[in-house]
Amino acid sequence: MQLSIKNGQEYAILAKDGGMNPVLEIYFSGKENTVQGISAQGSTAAGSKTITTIFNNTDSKNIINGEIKAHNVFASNFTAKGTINIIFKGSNNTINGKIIALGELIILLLKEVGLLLTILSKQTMG
Amino acid sequence: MLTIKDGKNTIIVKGDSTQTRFKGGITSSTFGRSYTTILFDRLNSENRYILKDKVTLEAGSVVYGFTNDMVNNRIFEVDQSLITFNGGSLGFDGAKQVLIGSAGTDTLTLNGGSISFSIDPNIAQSSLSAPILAGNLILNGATVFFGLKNTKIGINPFKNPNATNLDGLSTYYVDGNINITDGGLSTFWNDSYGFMAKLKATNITFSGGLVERSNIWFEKGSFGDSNQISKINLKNSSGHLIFEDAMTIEGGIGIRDGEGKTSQILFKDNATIN
Repeated sequence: MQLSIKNGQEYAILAKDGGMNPVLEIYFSGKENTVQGISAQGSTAAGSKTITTIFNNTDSKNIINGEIKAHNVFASNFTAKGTINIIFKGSNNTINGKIIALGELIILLLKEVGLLLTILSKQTMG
Repeated sequence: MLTIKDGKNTIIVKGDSTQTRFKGGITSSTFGRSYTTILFDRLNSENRYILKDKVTLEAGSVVYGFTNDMVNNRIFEVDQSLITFNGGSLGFDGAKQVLIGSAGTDTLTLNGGSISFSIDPNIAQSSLSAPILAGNLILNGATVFFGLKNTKIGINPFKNPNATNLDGLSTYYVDGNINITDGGLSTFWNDSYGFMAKLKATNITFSGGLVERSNIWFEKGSFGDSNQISKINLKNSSGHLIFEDAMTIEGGIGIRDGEGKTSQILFKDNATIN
């Protein structure tokens, strides 16, 4: 999957550099949502990073293109975590890219019936 | 000339607004240690107080307000050519409306610092025909705050994003454009009560990042016809952003800095983030 790079940012939702341990929560209430990649990358210089995306609408169609990458970095006395939580409350969700879980990646599907999660690319698990 | 030094100062200006009050202007450059309130007690026949004094802001805080005797429609008229803004904080407190230029069509540019509009909801109108601010703002590394005076109720949708009462807030209007470059915008947010109102401007544009304390509930149509903004780059943020319209964010969403802080964004309609 080729990443789309716009305005110097290779992931549509990105937590990477800068200060220590910020958290970003994004709630989607609409019916059609598209996200071009998500990355949370820990850094020994910049600490842990956490991104949570919640697709709230139970009647929604959601597509994540590009990579989903959670990346831990290990130092001698601590781990800088990259954490991504993705919560789908609807049943029509497509992940159309590579999943790289070298950190903490949780994808939750909360729809009890008609569960559908389509993953269209290979996964790399740490 | 009024040169503002350390400490809290309150100045009550008597008389009408037809002449300069501070010959030589007002200068505040004491690195955030001064807080000066200038209160007016008489308006002209149009219920306006026209600011005639040259203001140079480097640091500190200067707030224009009205005495308690001013119970009628209170409007500030600001001549942007008199204001030099290189930092510090400039505030307008308790007005119904602030006009930039006599027709409310001029542009005020801030290079750093902040400007605040604390609107009195008892006299301000939730109407496009009576905007709380008329004129354009260009924010270069600067932050603009909109607030509601003496208001202690609000809604925080992030405590329950699916709540049904999210549409109960008033919308106040800016008849003009707000252009933000590496700056911030806070619309009627209170850390204790959440959002107290929504804001709609003629058009809002971003470039660069949104800095700390950006808390914005964008009413529908805030971005002209495009519903597209270039990038949300939250810097050192604990901000809250709510978008009513279907939105496209072409440059993605990023966070950096903000040690231990949580930023929250709610897209109420469809969202495409590239």
